[in-house]
Amino acid sequence: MWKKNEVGYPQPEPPVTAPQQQHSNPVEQLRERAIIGSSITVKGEIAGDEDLMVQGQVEGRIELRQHNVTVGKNGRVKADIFGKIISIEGEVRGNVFGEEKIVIRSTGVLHGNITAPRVTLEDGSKFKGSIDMDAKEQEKPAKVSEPKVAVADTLKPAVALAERGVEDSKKLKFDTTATRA
Amino acid sequence: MKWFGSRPAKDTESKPENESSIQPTLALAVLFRQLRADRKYHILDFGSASGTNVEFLSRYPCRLTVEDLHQTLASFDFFAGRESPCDYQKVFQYLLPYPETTRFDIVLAWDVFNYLEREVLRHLMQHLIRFCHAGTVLHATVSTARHIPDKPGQYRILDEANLLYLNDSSVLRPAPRYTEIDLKQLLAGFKVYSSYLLRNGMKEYLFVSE
Repeated sequence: MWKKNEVGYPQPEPPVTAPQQQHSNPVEQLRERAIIGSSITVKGEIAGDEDLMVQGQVEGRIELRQHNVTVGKNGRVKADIFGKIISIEGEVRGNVFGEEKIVIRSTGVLHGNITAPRVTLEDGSKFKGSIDMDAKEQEKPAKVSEPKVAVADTLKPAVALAERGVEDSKKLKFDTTATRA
Repeated sequence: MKWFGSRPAKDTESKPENESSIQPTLALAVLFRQLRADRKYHILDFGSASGTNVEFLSRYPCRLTVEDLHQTLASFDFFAGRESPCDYQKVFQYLLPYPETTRFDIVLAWDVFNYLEREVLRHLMQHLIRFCHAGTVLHATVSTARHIPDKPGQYRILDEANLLYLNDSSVLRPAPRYTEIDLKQLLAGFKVYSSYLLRNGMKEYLFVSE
């Protein structure tokens, strides 16, 4: 049988682009993505309609709510970032808002607050800030009223139960060697 | 004549916690079981960021603030020799600048106090109490051993009742060995609710702010 390449189908010239990071996911390869190279510094607001890879420096604001933002290992960002999936391999100082997910890779450093339904911190990553993990609240703008009951108010009966061994041992695997001081 | 009980005294010194080990915890289990789905908690973790802990805590509606206290202090050469008297209040206001309206419900201080001098710990708690309300719960682990690794270990929450302790440091240093009486004095505004001795010589405390 003949092969497509042998009968002379015109092969498209490979586009000349800046070297991109290899992706295992072929869909990811096909997506359009802008790259801020390692020697580039951007000051101001970045917005657009494609994914973004930052290998250089950005100061200001990155607003790509419908697209993925990756801060590469060499990337240094001093800005709030809005994106769909945000992956941090370099250093970010600012608040990060992910519509779907935020991932701080093992080489990543984030000083700022995280708001996202899903958050992944890889071992070795450095993070200082807050993570809002109430996904339900993000979906519902109406704030759930908080009962005025402190955690400590319910501790006394719980401790008493635990120490008497009344707690369900299947649910609570208490260390039987632990001793009350 | 052989006296009753004349065998060599048993070495009561706990082994330093310089290895990985699973630590069943009674106090933390009690605490987690009290968390309710219908309210949101603000948790302050004084340890290093951990994906495992974030994943576990994400089952509760909460806001988690991660403050690797030892790393933060080390990055400002806080542990280096201080020649002049230090204004700790200003230091903590600078290093831990939470908004005045912040109120933490739960504070996790695992293997943190062991690496703070008495005066530093006192001022840290004086700063922290401003961001607690009556009923804030502080869960801390404090070593009872004479020597501890030269840097804090990391704790990973395996489940409600088990913590995984990790410490790869083989260098030891003397431990402050804070007693319950020490902690009552140093943690102004908090009272000891309960305490339990863990298998690795750490003692876990539940403090409640008054």
